[in-house]
Amino acid sequence: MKKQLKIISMLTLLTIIVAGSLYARGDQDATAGGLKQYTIFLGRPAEDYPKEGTILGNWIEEKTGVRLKWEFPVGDLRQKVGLIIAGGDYPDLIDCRNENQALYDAGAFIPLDDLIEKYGVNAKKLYGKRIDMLRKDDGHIYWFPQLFPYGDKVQRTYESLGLYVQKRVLKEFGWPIPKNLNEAFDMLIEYCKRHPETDGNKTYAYTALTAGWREFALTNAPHVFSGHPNDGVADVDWVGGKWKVLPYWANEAAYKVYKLYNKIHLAGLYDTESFVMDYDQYLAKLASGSILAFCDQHWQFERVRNLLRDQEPKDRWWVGLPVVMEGYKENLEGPLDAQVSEGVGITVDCKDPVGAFKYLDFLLSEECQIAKQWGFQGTDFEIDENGLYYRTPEQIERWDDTKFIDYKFGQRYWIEICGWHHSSCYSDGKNAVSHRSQPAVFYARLKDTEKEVLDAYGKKTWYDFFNPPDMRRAKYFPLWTIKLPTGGVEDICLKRIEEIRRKYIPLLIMAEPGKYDAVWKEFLDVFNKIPDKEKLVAYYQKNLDDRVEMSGGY
Amino acid sequence: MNSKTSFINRLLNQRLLLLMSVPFVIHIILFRYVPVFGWVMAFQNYKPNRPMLDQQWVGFEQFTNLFGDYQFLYALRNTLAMSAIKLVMGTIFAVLVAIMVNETKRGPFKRTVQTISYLPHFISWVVAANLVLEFLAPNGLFNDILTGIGIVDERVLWMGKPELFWWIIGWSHVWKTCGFGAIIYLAAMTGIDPQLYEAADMDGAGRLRRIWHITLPGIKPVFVILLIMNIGQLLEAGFEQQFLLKNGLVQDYAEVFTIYILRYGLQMYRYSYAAAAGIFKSVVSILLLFTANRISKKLGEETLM
Repeated sequence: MKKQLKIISMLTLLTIIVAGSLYARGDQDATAGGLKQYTIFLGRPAEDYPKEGTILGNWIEEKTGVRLKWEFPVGDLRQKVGLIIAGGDYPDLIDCRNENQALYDAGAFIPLDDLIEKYGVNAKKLYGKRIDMLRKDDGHIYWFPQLFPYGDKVQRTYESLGLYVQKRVLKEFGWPIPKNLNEAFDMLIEYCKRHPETDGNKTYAYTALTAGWREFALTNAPHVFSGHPNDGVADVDWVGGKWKVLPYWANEAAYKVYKLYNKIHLAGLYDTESFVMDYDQYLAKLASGSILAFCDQHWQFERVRNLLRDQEPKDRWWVGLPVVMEGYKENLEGPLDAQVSEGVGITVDCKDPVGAFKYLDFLLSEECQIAKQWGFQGTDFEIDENGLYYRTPEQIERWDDTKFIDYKFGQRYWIEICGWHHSSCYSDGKNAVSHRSQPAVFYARLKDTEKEVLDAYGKKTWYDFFNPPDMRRAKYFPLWTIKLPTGGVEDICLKRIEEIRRKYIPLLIMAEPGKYDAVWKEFLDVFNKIPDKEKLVAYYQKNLDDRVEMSGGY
Repeated sequence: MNSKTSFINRLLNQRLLLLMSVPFVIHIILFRYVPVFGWVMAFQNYKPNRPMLDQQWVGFEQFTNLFGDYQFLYALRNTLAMSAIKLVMGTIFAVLVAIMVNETKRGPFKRTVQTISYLPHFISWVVAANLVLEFLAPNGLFNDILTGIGIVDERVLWMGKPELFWWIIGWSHVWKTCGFGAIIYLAAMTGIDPQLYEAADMDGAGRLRRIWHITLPGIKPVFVILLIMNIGQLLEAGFEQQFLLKNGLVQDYAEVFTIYILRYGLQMYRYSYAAAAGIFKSVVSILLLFTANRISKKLGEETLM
């Protein structure tokens, strides 16, 4: 009896193992299905690719004869990338977002220059003269960026960042555009005095996102409020006929901005809990409607904004304003950014680089961009007699269902691979790459509560609130896509600067009356001791100069 | 000759047992000894995915960088401080809970108390940290209570006070683990001969006397062994707890060794640096363990080895 039991259990175990391995193999065979197959690792969290396929995906498969086998990160991307590198076993195609530099350092990518020369019909068309911007410091091209502007025409409807002020505040004060940050803050404090409570919660004049890498909403404030477009790590100013990298980490603008924040704190109206909140808590707090203003980038809180816009009372969402500090030139928007630090490349482990390249080149085509961004004519969009694309109300509804668009249509999987900049125009020169930037769709999607604001200010789009960009910047913009060599002295130095600012900015904002200057001095003492700052700035300057050089010089 | 054959005989007799132990021996060799060879990368400027001979050798540079970094010294201080707080508070409260549970009569009350006290152990830190954050938030329960009974006038941002962070870690550790930690002491207490208690009763010892003279000495061997093991773990102040509770305001007091290695080593792809820090940690841990063991031996107490 005992022996029988033993044998039976052994047999069961064996069956499970065999069945398991067979299942794994069967799974692999099923995805091939007569098509060429490439594996891809995409550094953006997404659900597993649907087994039954997607509308966009099936169309791409039909066009290219290629099926992708997707892998997505679970948890921290950095650690996953570290593992991929340490394992040395790469998928055919890889896009690790801002960690691409580490893969490059490990020699994971093959250079694409020859392939572009031979097969890159669409690559040449998109990148054109600016193709040199894609080159790494060794002169080769290794990946196609996530975003790249096409042509010169720009069509924008949304701002990218600014001071966001709640609609009810603007309404109460008769739709002003504050002259400077000081005036804006006075307005917020005054509003808080008049309405100390919002639905039973305390009304706060100001908050700032501080969670993890998203903390730039707080740390970039000197950059934003001194009127710079989003260069990220440092200001870039036109000095003596050249673009010069000027860090704002401890400059005068930083001193002034946080002093103004301190003023709100001293009035008891700064949401100090924000210093210990994570991203979800930040969004939850915004969603409560009790925060009057903050500085951030549009995409970080768009979900909450849209939620509040559709909810009663309909004046708790925020309008982006181009406010800067007194004495600084107002110029907030930047040119369309060529986001060259992130993108998809072919790895050294790919057995068929030519086939993989041709696949990527198809993804770069205008035909594919239109399918990705607009869908298919008849079901997703229509073309009017002037050749302009638009969507019917039903189609707009279909495309506002993000779940459907992401996973049934399949946009989420391809949207950030080989992209054209969503605010560029197609080769016909009139249709915007993304429907968000197309005026017809923008107006059709506007809610009444939004129209009220636009009408009150006499503006057509949210973008119109801001100054047009200084197009001379297009030769390098933006600075933040210059990546430091991983683990080098510059990298460590930047990390230390971030660390110290992370500690002292809250201390500055929360300084007691009359103590601000003392805290600032203490901050400067610690800050000045950080070694290698000159090397860090020099590194950015050199890479910026190289970019300008590649884009044709001054 | 005789002993040799008997050894072989024993070997043959126990072949099944030997066979069963093989996987574990292989496992230990593979995952505990083989990785030690990786320590050589601490003396290199290791770049992944390149053969060992192509690596650049840098001698003790990684170690000098490590000890020269003030951030590392902070991390070391915080690790030791938080470990010590957790060790002392965790042990005291675990023993206290064990004694109190042991002194209650058997029955539903005892079981309920025990279950409730060890439940937090099974919550992951991700959830537990959020509970702590909510509890201590300016409009959280703790501030409600304090302002309610008038101890403080204004709500306090507890998580933003650097000087309190170690204690928040300590108390949340006690809350989460004392019930579970008590189980092992409770088990030791059931092993105490009931005759001792009866004899003490006869001699007229009260409850506190019995605890002091019988219960506590009864669990001493377990207590000492656990203490030695925990001292060996002094450089392991935890990871999730601090990682999830820290923020910019308290970072100088919150960064522990493991987080430091993650941030300045692995996240920056500085594998050599992380390896150097790892070696330092292993060596110190082994030294601590041996020292504690030796002291315990000298005092005539239980030892681990």
